[in-house]
Amino acid sequence: MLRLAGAAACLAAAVLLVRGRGVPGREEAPLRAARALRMLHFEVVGEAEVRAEVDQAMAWALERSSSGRAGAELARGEGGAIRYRVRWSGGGEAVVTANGTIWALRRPLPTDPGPDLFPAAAAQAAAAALPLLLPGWEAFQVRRAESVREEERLWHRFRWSGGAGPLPVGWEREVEVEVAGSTVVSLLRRVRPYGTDLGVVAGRTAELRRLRGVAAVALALVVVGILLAGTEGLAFHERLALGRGAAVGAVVGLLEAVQGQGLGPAVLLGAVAAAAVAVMPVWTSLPPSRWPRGVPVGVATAVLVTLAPTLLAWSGGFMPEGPAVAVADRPWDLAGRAWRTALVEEPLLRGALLGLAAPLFGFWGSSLVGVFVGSLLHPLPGVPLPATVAVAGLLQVGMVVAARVGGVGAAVVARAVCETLLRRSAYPVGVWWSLVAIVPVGLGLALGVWRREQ
Amino acid sequence: MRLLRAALVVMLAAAALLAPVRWAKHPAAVSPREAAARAEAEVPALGVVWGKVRGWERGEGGWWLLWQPAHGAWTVLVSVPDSQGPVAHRLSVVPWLPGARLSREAAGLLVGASADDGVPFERVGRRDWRFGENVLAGAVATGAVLGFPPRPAADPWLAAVAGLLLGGAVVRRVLPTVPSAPWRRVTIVAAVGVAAALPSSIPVAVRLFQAGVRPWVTGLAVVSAGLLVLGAVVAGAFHYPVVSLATPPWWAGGCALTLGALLATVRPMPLAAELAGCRVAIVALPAASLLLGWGTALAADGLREVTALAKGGRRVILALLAAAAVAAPTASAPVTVGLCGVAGRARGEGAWLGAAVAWGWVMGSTLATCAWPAAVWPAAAFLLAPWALIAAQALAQGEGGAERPA
Repeated sequence: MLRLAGAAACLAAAVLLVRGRGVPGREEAPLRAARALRMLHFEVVGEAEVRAEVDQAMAWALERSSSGRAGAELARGEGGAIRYRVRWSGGGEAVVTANGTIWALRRPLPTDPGPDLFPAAAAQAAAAALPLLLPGWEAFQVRRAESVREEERLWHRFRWSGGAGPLPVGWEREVEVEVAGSTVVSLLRRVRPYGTDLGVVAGRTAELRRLRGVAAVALALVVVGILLAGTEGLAFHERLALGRGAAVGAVVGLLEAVQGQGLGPAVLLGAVAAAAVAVMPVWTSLPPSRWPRGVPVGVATAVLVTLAPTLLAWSGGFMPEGPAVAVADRPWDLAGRAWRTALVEEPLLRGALLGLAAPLFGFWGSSLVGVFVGSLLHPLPGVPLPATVAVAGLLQVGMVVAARVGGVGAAVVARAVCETLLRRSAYPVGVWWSLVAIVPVGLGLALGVWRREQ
Repeated sequence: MRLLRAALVVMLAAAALLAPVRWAKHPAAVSPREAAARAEAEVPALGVVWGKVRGWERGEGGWWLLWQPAHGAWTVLVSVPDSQGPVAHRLSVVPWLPGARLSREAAGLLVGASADDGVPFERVGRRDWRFGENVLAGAVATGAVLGFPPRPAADPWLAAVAGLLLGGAVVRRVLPTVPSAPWRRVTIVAAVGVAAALPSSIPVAVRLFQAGVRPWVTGLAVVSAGLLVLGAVVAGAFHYPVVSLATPPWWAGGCALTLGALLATVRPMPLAAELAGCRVAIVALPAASLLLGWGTALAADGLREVTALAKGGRRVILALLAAAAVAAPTASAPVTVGLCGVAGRARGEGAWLGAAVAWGWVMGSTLATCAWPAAVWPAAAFLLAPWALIAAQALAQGEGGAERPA
């Protein structure tokens, strides 16, 4: 009964973690974009193709610039960092932010765009189109205008500057409108970020990239250790899990290739994962694999990591609320990415590294090395830097616990569950996306309870 | 006979000491810190705080030095030639740092160039201008267009050495082994020595410093990566222990040491001059030599077993390989030559000979690349010190050497 209650609590926590999460606006983007183009007197024709566009550094800079959720809202709205580009097969293109703000429009040049206008008249025509498309357009002032004659048409380009508006002080909004003949053909919004806000994010990102080099060195050493252990295993006819390794390698390679990472990385990652799994029986110091135990550990770790940005904000620091927004079209991309990470990293960090270092440093000493290396792989840019690395380390500690209670198998499952739940907020809003995150948790918990009952 | 042996030892020692000095190519006349002092005196004020000297690299005819303030938003790279030529500098500023948005005319006036030649670069918080070789970051002149010289192309000998290291590790696990506890201790002490010297050796990794990354983060990355590698070496000292069944005869040790010093004339060790410019060079250089010696012996074990397949032709193959490495002297070629020499002798002598070759190469490289006294005298002393042991052994032993179990 207690076990059942625990499983129910885990499932409830997982549901809470994914409920209401996700990037909105994908479904509504074509409708909003078509309505906006209609305001430029253009009726869209044909199929709409929607593609997500993310300026992640800008999104995080906006998050940092305002406290609480306001920054994240700005990134999806007036900041224009997370947006959808909609293209119609019959011509016309528009960019709409996740919250529905019209960010850019371009209609095809009509056969007769009307008579050429003097710059002042063209500016009036452009200004007449702005109120329909740009809320709070009164704040914008013409800053720059230029006219170019191309063949028999006179083109005018006007740039308005709108101050900070709803953005934090120091940020600046711009809008650029093009008029051909007497027709407004395009509108493009831009945001000029405040240097310090973007600088903190850009600087921390560059620093984390530098620190990731340390993790790369460590993983390279682990791979060398795997190669040597494998060779030794073959030489001494030790038991190797060649079949299991090949299967895991094929899955990892497939996941990598399907996600468009190219054949080279797919083969490399597949080979590394295959080798790491294949030599696992050589390291007898590893705890036996009981993978269902990984599910509750994964959920608990995801809960702790989700709370971290709030705790950090309370103590005066900053950390993005979620991972980088993913550009994905299919719900299973979410699961694919999470499982790929789990299948590659956990056998290395909780398997090979532990197997190699445990004879010298013991289980916990080796795990500490694994936590150190793993925490440098995927931290988010934040302030102070050590705190964000520590949050990434928290996830790694969760995986160490999983490895302790259920071996490498449990660590893989825990990591996949945890990554799926944490990454859910980076994917579009939708039931299917949430189901992809929840169903494996439910199945894993049910299987775990059933097996214990048996 | 003893007199003859003593004369031979003296001749070999003299060759080891003089060859790197005699055939040195453009040794650095001044230490990097002296070069930094000259740069700070000669480069005009840039209008920004330089910060501390973070690192240095030896170029063809001078030093490359890099300054960066603690906040990391910019770096100042300076090229200080050995001669009395002009000292060139370059300020690199992160693109997000706010600054002035000068008009074309104002920018042209500031650099003293025709406004028509200016090319603007819109940054996040400022506008940069480029007028030919003159660049403005906002309103700050950045100096010459300057960058570190490109790294040499891929080194095939490095790949060969890496493969032989793996091969050596397998050999030590598969073949029957009597591990040498003293050599294990030496390896661990050397690793600890290098680890202790790591924080002071950060300037060697000058290329890793970049605008936008704070220097403490770069330093932390360098030290962490170094500690991980050293940890792997220590683990390797346990997993793949040195086999030391015999002390090589005096003439073999002497030849190995001389060979190492001569290899410095073929191609000095990369970073030897940079390391000699660090404050803890006196610890780092000998410790690095011993670790390099451990690696040489490991790779030589691999090469020995690979060439053993050729049976009688083994020495011919080793000689040809060494000749090829001398003919194509990349940065790793001297290591290849050295491990060919070590692989030519018995497995039990590998650790001694590997250490001798590496010691000779590292100290010889320091003599070949540095000409300032603070680097030359310790290196010369370190290079001569083993000769006292070799001389004592030569006077005490017979020509064949005294075999002794480890």
